[in-house]
Amino acid sequence: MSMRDVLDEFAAASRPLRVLVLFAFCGVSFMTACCSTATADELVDFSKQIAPIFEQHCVRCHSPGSSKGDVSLATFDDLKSNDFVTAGDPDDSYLIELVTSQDGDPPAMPKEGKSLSDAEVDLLRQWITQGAKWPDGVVVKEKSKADASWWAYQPLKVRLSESSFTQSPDSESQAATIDGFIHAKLVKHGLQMSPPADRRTLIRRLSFDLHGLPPTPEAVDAFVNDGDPKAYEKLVDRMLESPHYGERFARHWLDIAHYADTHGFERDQRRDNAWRYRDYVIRALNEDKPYDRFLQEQIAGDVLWPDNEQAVIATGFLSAGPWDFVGQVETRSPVLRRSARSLDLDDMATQVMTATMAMTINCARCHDHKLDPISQREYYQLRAVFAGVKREDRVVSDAALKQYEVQKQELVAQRNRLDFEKGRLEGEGLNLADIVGGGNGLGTGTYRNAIDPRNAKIQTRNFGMLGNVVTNKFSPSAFEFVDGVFIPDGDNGKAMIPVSSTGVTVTGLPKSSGKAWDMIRNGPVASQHSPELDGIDFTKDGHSLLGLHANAGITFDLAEFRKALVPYLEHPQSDTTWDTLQFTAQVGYFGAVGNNFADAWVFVDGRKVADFQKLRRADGLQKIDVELPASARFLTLVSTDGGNGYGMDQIGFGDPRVKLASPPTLTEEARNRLVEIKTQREQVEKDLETLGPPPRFYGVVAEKPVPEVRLLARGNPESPSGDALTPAAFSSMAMLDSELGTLDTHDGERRAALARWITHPDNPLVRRVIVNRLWQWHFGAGLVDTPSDFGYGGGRPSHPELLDWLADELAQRNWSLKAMHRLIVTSETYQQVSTIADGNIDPTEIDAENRLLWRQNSRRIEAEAIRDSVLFVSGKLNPKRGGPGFEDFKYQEAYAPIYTYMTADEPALWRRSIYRFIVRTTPDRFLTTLDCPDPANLTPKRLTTTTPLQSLALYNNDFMLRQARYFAERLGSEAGNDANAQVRRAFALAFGRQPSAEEDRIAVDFVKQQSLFALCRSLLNSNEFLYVD
Amino acid sequence: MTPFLNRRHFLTQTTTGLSSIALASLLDQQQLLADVKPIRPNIDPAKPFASRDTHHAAAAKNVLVIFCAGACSQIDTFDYKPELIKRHGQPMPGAESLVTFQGEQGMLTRSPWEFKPRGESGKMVSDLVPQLGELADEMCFIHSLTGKTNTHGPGENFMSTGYTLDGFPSMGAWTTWALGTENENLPAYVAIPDPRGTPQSSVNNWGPGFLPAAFQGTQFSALKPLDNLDIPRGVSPDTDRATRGFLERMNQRHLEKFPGDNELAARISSYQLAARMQLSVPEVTDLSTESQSILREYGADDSENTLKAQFAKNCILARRLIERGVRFVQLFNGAYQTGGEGVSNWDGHKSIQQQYSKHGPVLDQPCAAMLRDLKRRGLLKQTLVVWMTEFGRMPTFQKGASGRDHNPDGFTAWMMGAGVKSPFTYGATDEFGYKAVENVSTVYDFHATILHLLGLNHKQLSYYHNGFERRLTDVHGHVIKEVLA
Repeated sequence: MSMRDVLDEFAAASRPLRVLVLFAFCGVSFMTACCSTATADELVDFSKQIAPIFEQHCVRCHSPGSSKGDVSLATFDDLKSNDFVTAGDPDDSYLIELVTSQDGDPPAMPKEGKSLSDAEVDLLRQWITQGAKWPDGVVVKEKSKADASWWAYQPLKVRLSESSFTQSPDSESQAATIDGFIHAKLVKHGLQMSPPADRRTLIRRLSFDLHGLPPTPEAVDAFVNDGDPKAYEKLVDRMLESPHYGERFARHWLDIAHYADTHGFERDQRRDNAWRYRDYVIRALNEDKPYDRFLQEQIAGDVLWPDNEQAVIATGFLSAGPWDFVGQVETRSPVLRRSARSLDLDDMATQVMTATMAMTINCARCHDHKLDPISQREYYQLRAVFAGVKREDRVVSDAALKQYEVQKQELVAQRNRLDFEKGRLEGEGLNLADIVGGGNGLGTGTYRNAIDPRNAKIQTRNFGMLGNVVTNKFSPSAFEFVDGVFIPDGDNGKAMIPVSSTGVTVTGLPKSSGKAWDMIRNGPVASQHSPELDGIDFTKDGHSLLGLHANAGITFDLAEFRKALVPYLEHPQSDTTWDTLQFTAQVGYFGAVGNNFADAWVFVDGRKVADFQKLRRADGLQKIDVELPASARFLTLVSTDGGNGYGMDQIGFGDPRVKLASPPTLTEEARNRLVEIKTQREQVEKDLETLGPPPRFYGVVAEKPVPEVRLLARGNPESPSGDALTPAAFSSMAMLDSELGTLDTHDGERRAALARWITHPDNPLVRRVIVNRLWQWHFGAGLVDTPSDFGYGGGRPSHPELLDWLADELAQRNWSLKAMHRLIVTSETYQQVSTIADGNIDPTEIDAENRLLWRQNSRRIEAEAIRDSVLFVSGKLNPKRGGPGFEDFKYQEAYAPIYTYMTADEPALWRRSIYRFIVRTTPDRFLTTLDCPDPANLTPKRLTTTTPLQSLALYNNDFMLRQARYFAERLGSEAGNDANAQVRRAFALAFGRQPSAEEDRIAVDFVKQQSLFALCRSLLNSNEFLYVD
Repeated sequence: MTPFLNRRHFLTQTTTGLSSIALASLLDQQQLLADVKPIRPNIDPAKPFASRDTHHAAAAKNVLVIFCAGACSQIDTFDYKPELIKRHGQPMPGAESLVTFQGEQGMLTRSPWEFKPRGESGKMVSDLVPQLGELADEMCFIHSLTGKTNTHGPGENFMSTGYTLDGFPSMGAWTTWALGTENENLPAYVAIPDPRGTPQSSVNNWGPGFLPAAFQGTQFSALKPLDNLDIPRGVSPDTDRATRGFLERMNQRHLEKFPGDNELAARISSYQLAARMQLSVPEVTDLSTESQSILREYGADDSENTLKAQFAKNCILARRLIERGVRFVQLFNGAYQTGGEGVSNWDGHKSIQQQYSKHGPVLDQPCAAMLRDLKRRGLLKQTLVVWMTEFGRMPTFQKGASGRDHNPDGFTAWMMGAGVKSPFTYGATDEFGYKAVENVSTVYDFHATILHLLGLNHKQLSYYHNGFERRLTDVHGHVIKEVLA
């Protein structure tokens, strides 16, 4: 076979360049015009003779969409308005001057490309002489290089005999197979397939391909020694059934969706509910959801199956990419907002179309696509599908949220009942902060709920300065433990301030501003500087805080406390002090350091028992321990402003409790009950953890009505032109109806229509694209090696018939991706060795890139797979699946959040990388160095680089070193102290094989001279560990 | 198509005839995408950073970018407007309905800093940056830059990558992808963040985008050393070396199975290169060999202004990197997370005088000392220095504030050193310094000019990604020929 044949064969797949005239308004009227002129022989035919000259030489720069030439030559108006042509007089026409040589200088135009031929110039002259007639409404446009006849848009070309499901017993035709296609092409080029790889190589290859992890030594041994002739097929089935399969392939899909757990851009905020979409992808793949349904759910699952939680969560696909908070929300400039929104919609539409159909539609944002038959108008019609889509945190469904809340409430109520009972039995007393939050003093109160000091109403939101303040007015409370509240103004000690419903008053408080801020709260007050004082954070670890901003006061009814505390205890009749109570707390100033202070006061029945005047942050916590005799009825807590205004006057009573003064004696029964309570409480905590966070996810919601979409000239959001556009897909897919609705079609229906269009059984491109991706994920390169570009600018299929056959098989196999994996990995093509077999010819001389697949490709594993494999080999991989991502960084709220990475050195951080909380603008540098791509980009294919910084990272990074130590510890515990045994185990774990005799000797010597750790460190850096053969 | 690194290249390929190359190239049609035929760098995966040919004769071998994050006001530094001083306190014509990033406009407000003529050229530069002003004769100013966005993150992206969105290759990534570096013992491309943290758009400023990750900027500074450089604690240098030796032996054995596979070979040599980097990087970051007079000149010994001293050390580091042949150095002044709205960067919205009074001295002395130092050492002959910021600021104060809002319609950058005219001023804004009106230039033009000086044609330096021949200059840009020496 000559090389010429090879060239011809591939050349047939590409199309010749062509340009032609497009009609701006009405094709029919123009056809009439051109036909009438064409009949007169002597007349120049504009469409056939003149338009092509403009198309070929002028309009690339001189058209409304181009920024190059200042003038447009696209319409006759353009020519006229620029005085380029004087009808009837070519010598007076500037156009002719421009395109012909003047005074020996070359023609001024065209600037780029060849000059016009003499014949072309003559035609132009003739046309001008004849009156320079330009048919009405015609716009000359540069034609895209590919048109609707482009290979990718054609129906699948599958000969009946090629389908594996149409074997006719009486025909000689054999079922088509992957190997048949590959073999045929290899033979044509004088090549042949390489021999199959050995079982050890195969299981390692499969394991990385399907799971992203190495196989265990035990799995290798079992497979190598399996006498079953179907051992390989069974292994494939087992691996496809493993949940690791979904974890592996979700990573590939999330690359295409540019998924991350933050918004990106400068104020890179968290997206705490994004992970549900990640889990959806894993689950959908593991369940082998038919690929068409998988796409439908991701584009419009919330509309098509609103009652199916998974289908609703699937729309996280649309919101997975970056989002510019500052540009869309924070800025006050409407121009900026429009611009950010426009780019956002472009990103969303591009993601959907490149992922599903490998159409690079975003090239048509500013002008018609120059390569593919996608007009700018069509691009904006597609944008109209997404115009009503907004990214938002939303509930999976109202029913799910309701169910979740019911479950949660029930569990919390159970916990509260247990705590209440425990507190009662142990005599812990009642917590005043909890009571302020509407609770029973034993934990049933709502954190940050509050009592309004003006009127004793329950408040749930933050307040600033309070209006309508009446000082020294007592408002009774409906809470049983709270008598009432007031806002004090002491009038330099003179005022008699009512502090109880029975008319008890206090005097001796200083003059105050008479103003108040926020509420009396279970927790910090609004805008509180910090809940922390003297190293104790009163919002954490079982602490509590009763916050009250000056000026405010609250009185508790001790009679009610006694009712709650006393009856459940045994007390000797002789003890007369059993109903003596005790109030304990740590009071402090919780505002900022500096010249800020406030006063705190404690009264019992109107009598002052403690006061802390001009309390500052520097004074720290002040202990309160007040005995409340049996006769005492009211406990009153007050904060006043210290006489310097009430700003920042944040007084807090930490862990405020009222309990029995003498410790109670427990009965035997009570003690047993306490043990039971402990067990029950642990179970409830476990149930709460299992319940997890509320069923919210980061998805999309509809904007109603859908904002109008118009074509944006040059892609500029400030230049909308033409009519409002109806939603539509692309007419180049001639077998499908591209209309997706009317102007009135609402958001959800638009997306549903697009989903149906994309997954229509007659759409050949979607299936070609996904089988090509699968192929790439198993061979390192697709049959088309631009997996997200099947247009003119992309690569051509190396095996077009195979591609179409695979696409057809996908439909035959009910769109099952697992079936396709099985088909591919059980082929001989897949199972070839990746080394170069000895032979007469060197295949690299014919096909160095291995496009014809005369062997399997060996590949370096990706950044995430490296990390996961290191954990796997060290024995530390935490197999926990699903749920919120693990965070191997410290998160700090700031003007823009700060993410500071730390070494992942605890089990919670040793989960698979797919469960990483992915931060966009502060990526994990270890992974980035190992070629982990930026999730700002749609990444259809990972790149691999080899750099000294990578070597430094693998050799010296703290994570790697610690894992090497764990690996060594593991060897010690699994192989004992014998260096030979350690080396054998190390090779088995890292490489899935035993060392050769020589390797064994070298490695054992090395361990003896250096250390087991040094051996482990080397193995984790070795090419054999990092490459899959 | 992806010109290297994702495919296994074989040494044998170079010795074979056209045939196998032709087979591959017929499947890959990307060259047809661009108007002009792209020039793909010929990258040997075994030596991705080897110095490579330029497209045309280069005026500059390396680039030092000084990036003032936060949008440093041209009005208060380099763009002198007498009319603004005259009309101080008056409304700006047409500003009534103008809503910029944070809202409405107040009155025209002159700079709180005096402008004075500097050098022989008499270029007017403000007292905010007097030492830089003294170098005006060496500078080539472009006063007529225009941007596409009014928001910091996108603005920084635009200046550093040519696109407002995240995820595009930075100028340094393009440069090192095209040209490799002169000194393979140091990273080809170094980003030095401000002592206070990273800029608004963080690592996007030095990201690889969709280019191979090898060409991302390596982040370190005089304060924060390069990651993973030190021999681990508890491991002796001998053991470390022996481990590397053992590793190499294993890798060589593995390579025997794949004869001629230069990706595997490249990994072997990358450990040797890494070992050399472990010596050369500490050498370059060790400022103890710098003389007292140098430390003093830069302000690195300033015990009262520790921030200035820290930035000065970064400036010394930048000079040392350039001196050792690092291709692209990006030096940041201003950080974001630790303080938005001008607290720790140039984003002077609310109280510009107070904030810039802190930032000016931090930038001025160290930066000016670095430029003088580069000149003394003859490094400006081969180094292009570029000062830039994400966009400009308004000649008005914001309504109800004592600072200036964002303004992408006319702002200043300057260049110095290899290949550019000096003293020279190109382009101008209107009478107030608001909009570029004379020789209006785009950021694309600016980028095209920088690439041109490096010997690269911005139209031919392109990379195929998801359907596009992507360029630093998108589909725009003209070399600003007037500024070329």
